Amino acid sequence: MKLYYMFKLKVVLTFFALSLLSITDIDAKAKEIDQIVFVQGKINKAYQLGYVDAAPLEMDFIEKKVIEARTARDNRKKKIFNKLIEEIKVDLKIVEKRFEVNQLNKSLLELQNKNLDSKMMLDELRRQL
Amino acid sequence: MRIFIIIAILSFSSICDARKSKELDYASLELDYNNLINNQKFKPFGKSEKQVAKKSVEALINGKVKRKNREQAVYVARHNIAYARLSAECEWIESELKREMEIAHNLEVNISKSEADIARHDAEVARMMLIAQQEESQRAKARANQAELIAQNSIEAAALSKKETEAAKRYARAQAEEADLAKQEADLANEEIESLRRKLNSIATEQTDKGLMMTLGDFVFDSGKSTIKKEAVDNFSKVVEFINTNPNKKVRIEGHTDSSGSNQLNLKLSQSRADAVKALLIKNGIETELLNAVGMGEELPIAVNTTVAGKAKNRRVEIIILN
Repeated sequence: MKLYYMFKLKVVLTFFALSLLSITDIDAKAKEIDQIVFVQGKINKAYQLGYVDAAPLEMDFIEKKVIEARTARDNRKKKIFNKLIEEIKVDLKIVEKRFEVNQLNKSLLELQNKNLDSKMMLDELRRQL
Repeated sequence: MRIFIIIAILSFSSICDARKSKELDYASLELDYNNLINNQKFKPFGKSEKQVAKKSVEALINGKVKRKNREQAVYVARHNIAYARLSAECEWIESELKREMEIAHNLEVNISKSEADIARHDAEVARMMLIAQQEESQRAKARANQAELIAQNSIEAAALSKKETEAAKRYARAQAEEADLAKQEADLANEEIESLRRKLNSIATEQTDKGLMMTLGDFVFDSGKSTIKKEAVDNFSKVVEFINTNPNKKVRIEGHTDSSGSNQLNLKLSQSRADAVKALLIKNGIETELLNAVGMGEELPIAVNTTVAGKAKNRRVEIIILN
């Protein structure tokens, strides 16, 4: 009788352990999917905003890293996945900043050209006077 | 045993390689970081990002990162440095943009001022031109008026010239008439002189109780005056000759008038005429002591005073060489 109860307990515990493992695995997988969706969303937004013109090489690397991250997720290589996701996030920040620098440079150049034109116009007006 | 030795050597070699690689990575990171913070252009910018980069680099160098995470940490640190550089560049560009915007604003203000000045200048030029045009218009008007005036004057001058011509012609005719008249007058005067000369030459002498008498009619005097006519003066030789025929004898000169006018006036006129004859005789060389001039007035008429001819006879001066 005692053996029977011991066996039943083992079965229940095993089932419980397996359930727990299954739940944590599902949770981890959901988190990985969220991360991929998150970075993909950011990449899409970067394309929409034209960041690719500012940093085409970086965007190419990011795309490759996203593919690698998907592979790592599918192969359940969590470490590699996390490393790639972090790299992608850092790369995206750099791309975003580079785009910002380019835009600002463009504005500065335009303003400088405008000021140059204004200065020429002012000189011309002063000459008229 | 051999296998163990080989494995040990290989492990040692791989450990050495990993250390070398780590040192190279750290040196590269440090160099990157130093380049960033020593860049004078970006020095005042991206301070928080530089701080993050510094922390990540220092964590690696000080060995605060676990060995298994080192590769990832190097990657992140490198990116942090790049991000800090980009942030600093961003801020620098923003400051430049701000500066350029200030310049743009100043330029805009100056351009507006200059445009306003030009507009003012243009307005002033337009105003001056308008004034000049008005002046020119006034001058043109004045010239037109002057021209009109000149034309009118010319017309008037032409009319005047015509009138003047006519006046000149009239004047010439008048001159001619005047010359004719003058000639006639001269002829008349000549005739008168001749008549006077004849009259003087034909003066007759008569013997009276008082003595030898010569009578000068009133023709020798200017009408109503006591002055002797110039023609009579020039032809007075007959009278002088008459007196000289009887030298050293007293001569009485009597003046007479007609009854026209008051008695007193006639007395005065007769005395004046007698004195004038006396003065003329003295001038012609007759001695003063021999001459006595007396005005008799209207008291001794020789004809009636009721007719013109009688009155003419009564107006006379008698020169009597006393016995």
